[in-house]
Amino acid sequence: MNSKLIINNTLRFVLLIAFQVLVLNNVYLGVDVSPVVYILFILMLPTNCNKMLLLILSFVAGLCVDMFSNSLGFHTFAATFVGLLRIVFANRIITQDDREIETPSIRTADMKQFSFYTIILTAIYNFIYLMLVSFDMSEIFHVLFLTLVNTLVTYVIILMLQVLFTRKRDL
Amino acid sequence: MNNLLIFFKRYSHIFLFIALEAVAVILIVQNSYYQSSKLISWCNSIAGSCYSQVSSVSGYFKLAETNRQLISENARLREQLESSYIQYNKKVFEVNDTVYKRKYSYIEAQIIKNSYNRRCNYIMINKGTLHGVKTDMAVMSPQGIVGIVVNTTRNFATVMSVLHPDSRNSVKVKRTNISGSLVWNGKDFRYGTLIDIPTTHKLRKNDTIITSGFSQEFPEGIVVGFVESATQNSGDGFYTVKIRLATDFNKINFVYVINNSFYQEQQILNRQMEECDEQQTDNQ
Repeated sequence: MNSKLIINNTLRFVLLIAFQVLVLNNVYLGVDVSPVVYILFILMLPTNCNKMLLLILSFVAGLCVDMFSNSLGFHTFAATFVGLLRIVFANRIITQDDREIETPSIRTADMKQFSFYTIILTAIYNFIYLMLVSFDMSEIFHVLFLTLVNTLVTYVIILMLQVLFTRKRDL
Repeated sequence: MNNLLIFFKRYSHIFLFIALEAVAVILIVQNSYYQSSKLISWCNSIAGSCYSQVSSVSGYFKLAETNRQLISENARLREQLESSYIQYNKKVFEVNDTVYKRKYSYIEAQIIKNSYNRRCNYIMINKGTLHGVKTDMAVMSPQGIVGIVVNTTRNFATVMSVLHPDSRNSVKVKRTNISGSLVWNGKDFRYGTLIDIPTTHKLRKNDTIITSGFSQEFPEGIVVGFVESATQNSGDGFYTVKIRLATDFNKINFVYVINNSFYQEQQILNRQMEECDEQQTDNQ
């Protein structure tokens, strides 16, 4: 059970990051529109995951994407932050009546809750990442606009992946 | 202590988070020139505003010392002011020019004692032998002639103004170049008298009278006054002209002492001439 979880997550880690850096980073959807689908790996870590491990895995995931997209530190910072948010409050959004979920997805959690959970974390991720890239408070409205666009695109792609690759039974 | 350990254990993930984010920030700063320069300038501006706040407070503690420094600086600057100096050497010096040789040089002086309403008027100025003022030098004001130096001490000199019965200066009418002598009748300091003006050339009112340059003291062309009225003497062909003096003796403050560099040479010739005259009279 536990080893299966590790294998699944490792596979998801490799596949999502490969998808992110090999496919999504090379698809042109518009100026500054770059969906960050690999965040799904962080989102789908178990709710009862060790806090330290969750943070480290978020960090490593961000670092891997950074290494391939030649932007060392930016994705790492945002991903680690999202990892912390999962610990601080996001877990509570999808867990119903204190039942721990091994792999949060639209199959295991409520559709509305999972959408909210995904959108809020993706939005925060994008905002932090874009803010770091622009690094200028005067561009905050542009950053907010891009955050909105990127969040929506990311959410749509995540939803598609969820529909395509998860079965009714937990992965 | 135990509580502290519990605290650390409970919030260990926060510390890990901070450490990981710190690593991310270091990566950003090390690899992105734009972000790092922005960050550095931001830090500098924060530090700068902090320092300016601190110095605005700590400046008060240094006020005494700052005041002392400012006072000493003021004193030093005051020492450099011209008014702090008494002129100890001749201010006039000659430039060695082979084409032009300067005949007249000017020493500015201030009147320290003025008189204009007496029978014999003398003016005292604040320049003396130390500054190159000698007897028989001419004195003029910015408006016109003033008089002749008659006495000098080390730092002061006495000027016999034209308002003196013994004063007699060679002048001429600017328009016609007819020369005469300026005297003073001792009545009104505003008016002088011209004598020895031949009647061959008519005078007009407000004709300008200037120094003739025939005397050794005054250069040519210094304004003396303006013709007020002229009366023809009965018996001879000369005018007695009342002129309005250009210099307002009531108000003069600064004057120039005119130094004639060739005064000695001219004086030698004068003396020789006088000796000739004496010999002739002796012979007669």
